[in-house]
This record gives sequence, structure tokens and C-alpha cells, in this order.
Amino acid sequence: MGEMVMMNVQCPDDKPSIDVVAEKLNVTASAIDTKFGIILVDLERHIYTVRVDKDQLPKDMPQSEEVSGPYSDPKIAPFGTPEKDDR
Amino acid sequence: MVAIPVLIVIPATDTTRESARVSAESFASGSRAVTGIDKAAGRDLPDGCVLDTNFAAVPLGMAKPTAKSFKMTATSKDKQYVVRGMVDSERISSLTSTSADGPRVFVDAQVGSMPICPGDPARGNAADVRGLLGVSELSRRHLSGDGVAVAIVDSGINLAHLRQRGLSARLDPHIFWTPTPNIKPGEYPVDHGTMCAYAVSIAAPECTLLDFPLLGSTTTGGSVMDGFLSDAVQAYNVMLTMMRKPEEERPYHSLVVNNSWGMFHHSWDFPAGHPGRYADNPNHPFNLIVGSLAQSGADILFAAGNCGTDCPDGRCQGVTTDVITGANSHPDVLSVAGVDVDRDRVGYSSMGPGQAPLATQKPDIAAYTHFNGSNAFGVGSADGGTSTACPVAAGCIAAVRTSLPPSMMSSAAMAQAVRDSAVKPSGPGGWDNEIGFGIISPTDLANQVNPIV
Repeated sequence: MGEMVMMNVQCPDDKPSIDVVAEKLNVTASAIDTKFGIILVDLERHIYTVRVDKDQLPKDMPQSEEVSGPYSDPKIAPFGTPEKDDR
Repeated sequence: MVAIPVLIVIPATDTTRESARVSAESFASGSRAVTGIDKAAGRDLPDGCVLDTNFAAVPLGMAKPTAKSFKMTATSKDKQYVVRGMVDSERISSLTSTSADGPRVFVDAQVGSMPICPGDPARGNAADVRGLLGVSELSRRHLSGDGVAVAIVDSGINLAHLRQRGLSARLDPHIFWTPTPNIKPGEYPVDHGTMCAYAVSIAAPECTLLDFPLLGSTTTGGSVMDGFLSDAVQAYNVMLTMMRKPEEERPYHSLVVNNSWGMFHHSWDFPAGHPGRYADNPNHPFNLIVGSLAQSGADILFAAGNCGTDCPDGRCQGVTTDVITGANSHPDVLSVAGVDVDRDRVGYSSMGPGQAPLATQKPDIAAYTHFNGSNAFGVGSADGGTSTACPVAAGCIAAVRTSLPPSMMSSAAMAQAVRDSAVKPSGPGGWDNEIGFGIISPTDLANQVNPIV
């Protein structure tokens, strides 16, 4: 798999399958990160997030509530006791 | 018209000498009584100056400063004294004496302490924080966090270290997620996550900790810990699965989620305007699941960040505006700034506002930080950053939740009650971009949401 990106997919079904999600994204099932899973992120709008092989996504995918992304996956770091910056 | 506080140097009179004499005798006797000056001294002031009769006259002394010493010797023979008063700002320009012996008016400038900055030692300790939070009162009301789960989304918890520090910490190893499951929950190296767990336990000593280690340490040095936001999505999925169960079927009636992390710099994200950006995008997957978890009843807190204007963390790369971003700026979370035990904002605590269209009145509140507590980084080390303020606040909420599950009070209502009961140490009420609505006060919060019958 190449670089993985997060995509949102709207599915009215409870616990949609990989095949259903892949069809909505217009990719093969193998393009989806099964370890990450299909994660429900919006309870009201039935939006799920998956990680997908970026290279397999259609170019210039139109954004809609049904399918949107890719979304950034930034680094996160702790806000602990800062050290003195001697620069 | 604005009244300006001023110091006025006036020629010596019997009134000023008597005032100074009484003040000196009072000080010498160890009395703490406030001494002042007879109002008759007001006749000697320039027109427009109003004497402050509560300020004792201070002799200026006859000696003159030299290049080596500014020490001046004050005696009863001093020819000039300082008194304090107020003057209308519009009359300032007219207050110039043409005589060297005439009254001279000077501004009475406000002074303040320097804020805590990176590298500063700890100020106060956990016992001080317990006192400030009123933990004894919480304990008297049986508000200890019993029955409440507090998720530490962080670098991992070391339970043995917490117990060595005298805590009877509880941890549930069955509700747990990490991207690298090679260490058991509660057995992680002592580090940032343990510091946060300790801070939670200050106000909620009987809560049950949940370990969600996302911030992995590098194999070399171990001083750099970071993770990726997609890991947080998975961790939140575990918590959301738990909270979506009916309250009576859940292992804990309440869940408080502590997040002492975020993005330090906008370069870590997609650029401004990109539809997939995280910093200001309500439709980003993580911002969506945060909202869902809050909707399910969890109380979610995020540290405001360490990019404060006075002395930001080096990783802020000098950027100190628009620094409360992403979920740290989410409308359904409490964003927590840091104050020291003297109730002064620590210099590195990020200042608001937050990011529209998420929420702009961020931080929401402040809590205590930069005190000696966990010793996670060595004996006497400071538990600092807004990383510590956040779990201090999380513990407060966990304590109040002891007898108030989400079915009785939603997370939104709890968050509002936290804001409403926060205390401003000074200045006007309402929101400000430094400490939000004020410093968290769990006793006031408890009185507001669960009054003693």
C-alpha cells in the first residue's frame, strides 16, 4: 500500500462492509486499511472514516457529504513542561 | 475624566513628619495595621490632586545617590516627603513645578510579577493545588471520582509510579487502545502520561484511569513523543463504543477524556483553505468524532497549548497567534489554559481566540500547572505545560461527576456549568483570551450543579 489518507463516507447502513465503502469511494476493497477499520465518526449523519491508499483514489474527487477527503493526518505532540529555548 | 494614581513629592511639614514617625513606629513594633496621613496634608498638594489618606508619608532622605550606591539615608530632618494621591488625567500637563523645592508629581506605575516561563522551577506543590481546589470539601461531600472513568489519551501510564507517590490509583486494563500493543496498560515508562494521570488524581483520587497511549516515545533519547491524529480517531472509537451503550450497561456511568496534546504549528497540517485541513474544519474526521463522543455524554478536555505570547515553547516556531486549533478549539470540549498557584497565567499558556467556524471563545477556563507533583521528570521537577492544567481540570469534573451521571446532566450542560462557576482572580468577569471564563473551582461547580440539601 502507498500513502494512506483519511476519507469520510456516508452510509445509512449500520456497520457497512468494506465492499460497500470501497464502492462509494470507487476503489478496490484492497485499497482500504482493514486494520484501521470503518469508524463511525458522526452519529447523526452516519458518516464513517476509513484510511485509503491515496494512489487508488480517483483524481479530483468531488467533495460531498457522501464522500469527502482526503483529510490531513497531522503529527500531534504533548503540551508538557516546555524547556527553555536557547536559540 | 480618568483618575490617575500619582506619587507627589512635597516639602516637609509637621503633618508629613508625624505620619512618617507613626508609620515607622508601627513597623518597628511588628504591627500590621495600616497607617496613613492626616487629611490636612492635602492643603500642600498642587491643585487637582486628591490626597490618599491611607498612604503614610515616606521621607526621601538627605543623602544623594552616587555612582556606586543608590542607598539614601532617611532622617527626621528630611526636607521632602512622598505622599500618594489621585489626579484627573486632563490636569497632568499643568502639574509642573517651577521651583526645585515645590511639589512634584510622578506617575504611580503598576508593577507585576514576571510570568512563569520555560525552564523556571516549580512553583508550589500538589498539596497547594489541593488546597486551592478545595479537595477537602469535595471529599467531605464524597465527591472523589468513584465510579467515573478518566481516559488519559497520552503516552501511557505507569501505575506503580503513581502508587509510589502515595496515590491509591485505579486503572482498568480492559478499556485500552494503542497503535503499538507491546506494553500492558499501566506499565508504560514514567513520562508525560503518568504526569497527567497524577494531576487527575489530585481532585479525583478514586476515579478509574483508562490508558490510551498514542504518543509514542522514540527509541533514542526518549524525549520526543508524538503520534498521529488518525490514532486518536481509533482511540475515540473505543470510547464512543463504550458510551453508546445505555448508562446502566456501561462499566462506568461517566467518562472524562483528557487530551494534553495538539499541533504545535500550522505547518503540521494541510494549508489554509484546503478542504481536508484539520485546524479549522468541523468536518475533519477527528473533529466529527469528538462531537459524537461529547454528544454521547463524555466530558472532553483539551489543553490550550504552550504557544503563549510571553514565552512560547520552541516548537511554536515563534507563532503565538491563532494557536488554539483543531479539537483544542472544538465547541464541545473545554480548552484549558494554565495558571500557577499564585493564580497568574503562566507565560507559555496559549492565548485565544480559537478557530472559527469551530469555536472562538477559547480557552474556556484555566487550571493550575507548573507545580511539583508527580516527580515524573525527577524529584522536585515541575509538572507543567497546559498539559498539567488540563488533567487538573479533568479531575475536578470527574469528582463532581461522582454523583451526577450524564443522564442527569449532559456534557454540554456540565461544560457550561464549569464556565459559569469559574473564578476570575482579578479584572472584569466574562471571557478573556488568557484564562477564558476563569480558574476552575470545583467546589463552586459542585454547589451549582448539585447543591447541598
